[in-house]
Amino acid sequence: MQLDELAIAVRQRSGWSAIDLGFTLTRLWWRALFLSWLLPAGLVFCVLHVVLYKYPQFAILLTWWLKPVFDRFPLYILSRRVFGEDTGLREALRQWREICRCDLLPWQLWRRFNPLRSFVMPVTVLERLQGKPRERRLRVLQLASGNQALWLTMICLHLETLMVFAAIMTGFLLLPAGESSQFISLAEAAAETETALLFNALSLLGMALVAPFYTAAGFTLYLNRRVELEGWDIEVSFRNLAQRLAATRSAAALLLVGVLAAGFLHAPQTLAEAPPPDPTQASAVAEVDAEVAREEIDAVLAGEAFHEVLVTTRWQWKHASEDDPEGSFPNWLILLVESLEKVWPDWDWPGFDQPLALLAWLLRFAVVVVLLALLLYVALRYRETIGRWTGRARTDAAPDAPPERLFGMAVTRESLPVDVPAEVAALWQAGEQRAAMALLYRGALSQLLHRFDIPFTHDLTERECAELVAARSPAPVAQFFGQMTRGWMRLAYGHVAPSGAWVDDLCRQWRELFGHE
Amino acid sequence: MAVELDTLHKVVTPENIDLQVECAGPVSRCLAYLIDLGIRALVMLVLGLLALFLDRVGVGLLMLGWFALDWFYPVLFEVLRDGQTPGKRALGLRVVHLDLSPIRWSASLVRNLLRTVDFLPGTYLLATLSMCMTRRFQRLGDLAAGSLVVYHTPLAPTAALPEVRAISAPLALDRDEARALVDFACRANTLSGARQRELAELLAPALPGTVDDPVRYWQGVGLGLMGET
Repeated sequence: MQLDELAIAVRQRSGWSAIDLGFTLTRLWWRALFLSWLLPAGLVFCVLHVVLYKYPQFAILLTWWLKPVFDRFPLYILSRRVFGEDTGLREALRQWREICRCDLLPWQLWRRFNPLRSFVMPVTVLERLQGKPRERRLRVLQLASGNQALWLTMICLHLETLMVFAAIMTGFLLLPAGESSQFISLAEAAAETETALLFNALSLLGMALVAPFYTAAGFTLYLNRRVELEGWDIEVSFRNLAQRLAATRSAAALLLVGVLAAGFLHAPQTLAEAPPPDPTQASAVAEVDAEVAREEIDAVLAGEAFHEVLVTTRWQWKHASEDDPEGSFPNWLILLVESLEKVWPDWDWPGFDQPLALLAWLLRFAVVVVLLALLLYVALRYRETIGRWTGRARTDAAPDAPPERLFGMAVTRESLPVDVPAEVAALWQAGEQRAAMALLYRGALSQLLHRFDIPFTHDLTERECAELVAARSPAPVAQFFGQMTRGWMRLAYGHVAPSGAWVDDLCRQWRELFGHE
Repeated sequence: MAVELDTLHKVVTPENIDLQVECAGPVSRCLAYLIDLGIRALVMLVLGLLALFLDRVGVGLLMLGWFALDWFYPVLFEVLRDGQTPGKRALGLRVVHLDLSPIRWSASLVRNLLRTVDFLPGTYLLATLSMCMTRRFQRLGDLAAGSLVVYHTPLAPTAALPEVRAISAPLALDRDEARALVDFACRANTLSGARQRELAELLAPALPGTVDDPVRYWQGVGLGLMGET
């Protein structure tokens, strides 16, 4: 069995999804599967009708009874194509002796009414298992997918009958109004040979339409169970990994030879120009000689990239001249200017002996006043926004205040329900596993922040938090939080849910550790 | 290698995030429908019993109830309960738009009003044919509404992990390879011992020389990738 030739994607799926895969296969390979069922069945159907021309009802009954035989043809094609062989209709029909030989009678007699038929048929028809090994195999297979196989049979069985019914209904719908009585009399005539023949042909068509889907869905369900039990998906990935490694090994050897050759041919400083090895080729890097590597590193460090000189320019105030003239100005103005001068020593102060200059200065003064007023107005108008900014800045700056959010989750006391474990249990019962675990983790963070004064900060990862707790709190708390963190990370990042018992245990520990307020 | 056949529907968001879902086919959807049908029949039975006491008004009310139940039962459940009617919930199915966003009123109304067409010629035959013939198992209503029925199964609980010390990966791994190693560790209890040795044997070229039990070693690597310590 060559798993790397598989035509279907192997991964773990539910039984229902495996059945759907069978439907997809049938859709894609419809012609071959449909004809491989219909041609043998049609042949038998015709022969039976010739032989039993007086009893068409027995002819169709026998055809129906022989269905397990006809199902083997699509199954043969499927089992070859899924494993990458290009088997067609012609080959399947040519192999009819081989296909029908194995285990024919049991399927026609006591296994004819096996409700899991299409699911268990591959075990005998393809694997050729008999007796005890077969029974053991079936037990293991049915353990998980028997339920789906049973429902598959039920649905397909009804679909078959409904096909015939729907065909009759279509005829009924197409009759003009008021003519339905004729249709009923037509239906009553079903006992007569011609109408019976029509009915039989319809039944055969119904069976032929459903059978490929039924067979394929049973087969993929069977395959899916084997994927699960034998880890086919793992095998495919492991094979790919081994292949990739083999490819990198040979590439690494080549690279090593190349580097050494470069070292012999050129002076050492040109090593820095050699292309850096591909980081994905981990083994290649490991095999490069440490001495060569150090030389390379030194060469890179000595290169231009680490000795770049950057020249930057920027604007700067220059010192104003110190001489300030005095004149016949009111004392307060001089004082004002002097005090302003203290604030802005670099201002270009006017000479007060020139009236125009004074006017200009006053204008400038007015502009400054207006600007100040504007600033004041803005400050008042948006004082809330600014307050919020500065407020936040203050909490950021203050090292003592505990953070309100960690990992994007609110950890203030007010944001949590009063009885966290009860709420967690309720969420878990409702199937909201993620929400339940998030609440528990959030609650634990909050308790540790406020009751045990653990200085969590924004920059910590979950694991760093756990280490902090381990260092700063009593052993049971640390143990609890470590367990909690592992579970939470596995759910949050790995999408793997913990078991219900595990969560119950955590809730119980929570009550013991944090319960007494 | 040729394209592997699968039932997935893949969507790439503008943020370049790959989303994929498993489309649900006729068998599971048929069962979900039957469950819903049973629930509706029960409700109608109760309504019918109540209507017995109300004479002709009762008949009128019964008809109204039937109308509402028939047309709006799926719509209301789908839009208000995350795309799940009780039957779909039981089978782990969910209706979504083709871009995988939650189903809204317009799409849900269209796909459920078109049940009249899907029902033809009397037993949902058109719907079944359409589901068997389209790539994403869409019935005519789904095609018209741009909707899709997908599997939505809750997370399975972790199986018991093997009692092995976690080891950090000895080589650079891509996502599929890491995933396979994690699976190898998680399925330690479902795979037979012989099969596990066989699988570990495949990785022999990557095995460091000093390891004496490859199975336990690779299980340890799997645990290490899971973040166990």
